[in-house]
Amino acid sequence: MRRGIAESIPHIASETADVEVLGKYREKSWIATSYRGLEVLRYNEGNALLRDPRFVKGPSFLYRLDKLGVTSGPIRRRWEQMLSTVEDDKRVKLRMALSKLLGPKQIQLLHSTVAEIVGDLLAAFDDGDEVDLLNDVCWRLPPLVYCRLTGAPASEASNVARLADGIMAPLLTSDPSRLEEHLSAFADTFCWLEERISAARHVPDGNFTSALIAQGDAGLLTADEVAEEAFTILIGSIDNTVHQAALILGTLLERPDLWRRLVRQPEKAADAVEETIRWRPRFGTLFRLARQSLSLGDVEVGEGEYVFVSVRAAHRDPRAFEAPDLFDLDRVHNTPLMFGNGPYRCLGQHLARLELNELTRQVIQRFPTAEPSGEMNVVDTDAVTQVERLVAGIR
Amino acid sequence: MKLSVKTGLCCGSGMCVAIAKTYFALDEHGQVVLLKDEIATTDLPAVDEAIQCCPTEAIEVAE
Repeated sequence: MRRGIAESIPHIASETADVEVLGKYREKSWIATSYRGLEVLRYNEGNALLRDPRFVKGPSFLYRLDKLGVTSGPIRRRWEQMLSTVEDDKRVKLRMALSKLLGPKQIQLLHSTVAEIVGDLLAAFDDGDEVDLLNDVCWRLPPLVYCRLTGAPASEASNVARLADGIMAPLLTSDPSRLEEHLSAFADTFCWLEERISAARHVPDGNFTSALIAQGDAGLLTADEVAEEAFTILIGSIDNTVHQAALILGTLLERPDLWRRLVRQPEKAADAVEETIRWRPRFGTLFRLARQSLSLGDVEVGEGEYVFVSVRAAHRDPRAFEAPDLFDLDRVHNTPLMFGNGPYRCLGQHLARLELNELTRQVIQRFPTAEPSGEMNVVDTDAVTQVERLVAGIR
Repeated sequence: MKLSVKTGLCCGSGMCVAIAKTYFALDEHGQVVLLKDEIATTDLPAVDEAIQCCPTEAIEVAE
């Protein structure tokens, strides 16, 4: 039984990603219990928790590894050295190295590069085609951008997609039957990255890989850390952007009036992206581990206890968003929680937004009369939302 | 050279505090607080690093 005001905390009876069901609990209480622990359901309280220095994130990544079955051995040990899992001084050091590459100013400089990649990608389709937006557009853009930014040949893009998905999909869906896929993709990715780093060492070309090597040469990163940071960029830049891109395009295709409006007002594409991130976030849950025993309002949290923030419920909180169940392109002060906040705020969000904004703007301009061809298939797990099918006719 | 922070932009990443703790702190809401605004010449590299690592560009320097 929960300590503190246990009797007044509702219990979410079954695992659900349904925002209506979660909303009923959210309106009863800002916090609930569920099969996995404490769930924060409201926006302000979730935002405060993400910024709360009494909580750490690293163990939450290890929790996912545990659930997948990566509990020991060299791959587990290597995971324990990465930015996703380390804390304190090592986390600051690794985060500093990537912050310099992924800050808003640096990413803004890549705008024309990303626009060109999107343009080339969409030029391949002819009117009258049926376009597999998921596989032929969303799954191709982030790997192509990654290759350009890291100096890898574009011909490696499909390999990059395979490696990143082989690592991340088993982890984020917590599917132990995919353990071997994860382990094999992990090992293959390090082999591939070591080759890339070696190539960039011989022919520096001013890309992300060369920048990491330079930080290594300056004594800021060890050789292992250079490879581990390159790994973090790779796994962080593919799957989540792919699925959020598909969620955006699919959500807009389901609303022909909004699609037509965006054809007339392409400058609203960024607002459409932000509103879809609120409406259908790729990440449904963020969670943290309490470093110490503490109180969250009237609720006591034990040292080493996980607290989950339901991004899905928080994004529909009427205290933070007016008419939250309305998909509204004109929403002001729209600041979704999906990229996190506080010490662990997603470093790749500026790059992700650049890709999502440019893709959305160009797809709508290139396919102004696009219509969905069948339904978008979406699977919600306790952690993420995955798109499994998204096809459009571009008659 | 004078430092300033845009508190409305601060996301509380705490990178500035980790890099230059004599200049930056976080308040109880995880919001950046400037401890001093005059930058000593010897501290310029650290302050510059903190500016570069702020994920929301909430720190500024004016001549």
